[in-house]
Amino acid sequence: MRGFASLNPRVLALYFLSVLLITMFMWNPAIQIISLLGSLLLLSTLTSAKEMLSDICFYAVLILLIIAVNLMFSHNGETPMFFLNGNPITFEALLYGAEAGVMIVSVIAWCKCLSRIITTDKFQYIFGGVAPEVMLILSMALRFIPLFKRQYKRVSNAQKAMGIYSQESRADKLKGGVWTLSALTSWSLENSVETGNAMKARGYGLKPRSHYAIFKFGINDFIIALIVIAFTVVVLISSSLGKLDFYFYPNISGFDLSYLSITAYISFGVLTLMPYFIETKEDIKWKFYISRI
Amino acid sequence: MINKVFTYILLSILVPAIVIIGCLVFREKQYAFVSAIVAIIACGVFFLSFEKKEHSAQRLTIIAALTAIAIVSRIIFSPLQGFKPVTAIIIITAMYFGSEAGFMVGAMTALISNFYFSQGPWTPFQMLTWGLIGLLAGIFAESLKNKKAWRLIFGALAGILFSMLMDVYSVLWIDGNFNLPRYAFYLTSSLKFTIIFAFSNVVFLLILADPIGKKLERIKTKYDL
Repeated sequence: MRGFASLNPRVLALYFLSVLLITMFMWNPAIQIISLLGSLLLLSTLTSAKEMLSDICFYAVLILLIIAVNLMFSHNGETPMFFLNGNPITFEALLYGAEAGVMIVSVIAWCKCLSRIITTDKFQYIFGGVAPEVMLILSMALRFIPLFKRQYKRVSNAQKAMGIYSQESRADKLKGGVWTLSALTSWSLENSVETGNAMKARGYGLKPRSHYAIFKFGINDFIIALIVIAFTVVVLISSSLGKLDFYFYPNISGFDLSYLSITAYISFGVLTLMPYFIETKEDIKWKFYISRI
Repeated sequence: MINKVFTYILLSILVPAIVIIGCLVFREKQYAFVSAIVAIIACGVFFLSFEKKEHSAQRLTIIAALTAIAIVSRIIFSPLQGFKPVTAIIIITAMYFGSEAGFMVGAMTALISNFYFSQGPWTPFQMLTWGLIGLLAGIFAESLKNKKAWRLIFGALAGILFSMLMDVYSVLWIDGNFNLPRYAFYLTSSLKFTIIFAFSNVVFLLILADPIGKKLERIKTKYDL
């Protein structure tokens, strides 16, 4: 990972917080469409083309589904397209559904980017200062999971070799699962208390507590953080003055086209496209240097 | 001391400020915003109070181990679709290690399993709901331990509560306010999952509570926790 993902995790967290907050809670089609575009472009740098294609198909189906549900339940709006069982199916409800669909899809896409970029080690770095004990539990649990999976495999292989719980019936699977889980529990509890004793013996809980992190806060991080804060503030101010209000019912209101609202749209556009530009810039640099060798 | 006062002042100013500013900024979707903030703050306050107390290393490792068991149990039972013992394990943990451990295991299970699947706007709600199930199970620990019937009723109610709360959030998020017909639609469309969920909680509490409970009890006595 280079480029965007190599920024300081706290800056990344600030970025995703700001973009998700605006996407989730602003009710404005322009904002949602910009956000969808930004999230899909960033996602395209993080996944393979094949996975991207299947994701896009899933997103399209999801949007259609949300539109359909909205048409069934919302009969507000002034422009009926046709009547179904005596209920009007309105144009406004169609657009409202599309807006909700785009919003949900872009939030899901952003969250997918977030899961790819803010990995568990970065997550621990972000919250390690505020909640060290909770993060310690998180990191130990993350270590226990593969350990327990392996142990589970051992227990269940042993059971299979003895010829118990190996049939295909549901009851047998359930019984086998419960028995293995029970065996796993006693082994893992014992194991974890031993770990705790070892920690205590090596001085866990002595003050002052120190922690180790490999992430540095450089000048780049500072600049990006400033940009994120500035653009977010522009959007939030514009929204709190009502410049970004958009209504679907009873009829569709137009966009407000004052300087402030246009500035807000541009700011949000730059904000959402920023990671993609950073990635593309790094990509071009990489290829350019290769070709000169 | 100064630190403590500072924290309280910060919390008592910051929290209402966030809510008020959020309502001013996100005019159309203030209910969704407030509900998300409440979920995050509720989890945050609980985590901070957990940090304030002194915990022995053994207690921390046991909580981590039970969280890992809850997550691994999802994988063990993945061949049986929708049939997961996660909630049952959270309830059993709370029965033997108290409300605090119950909340931690519930919230951490939601958080960590979403690292494996996908984080999303639902994460804080799952954390809070599973945490609350653990918290409540810890409060009623004595009656849950002694009476099998209570345990099963609690398991079923926990399943229903989980679905109903998650659907409330879906409605708030899509509509911006509470739309009753849509809520009814979500409830009915997720009815099948709710029933499977509640039923699996009952089944797993029935078969897991005694063997796992015995082991937790033994560990508690053996290491004097």
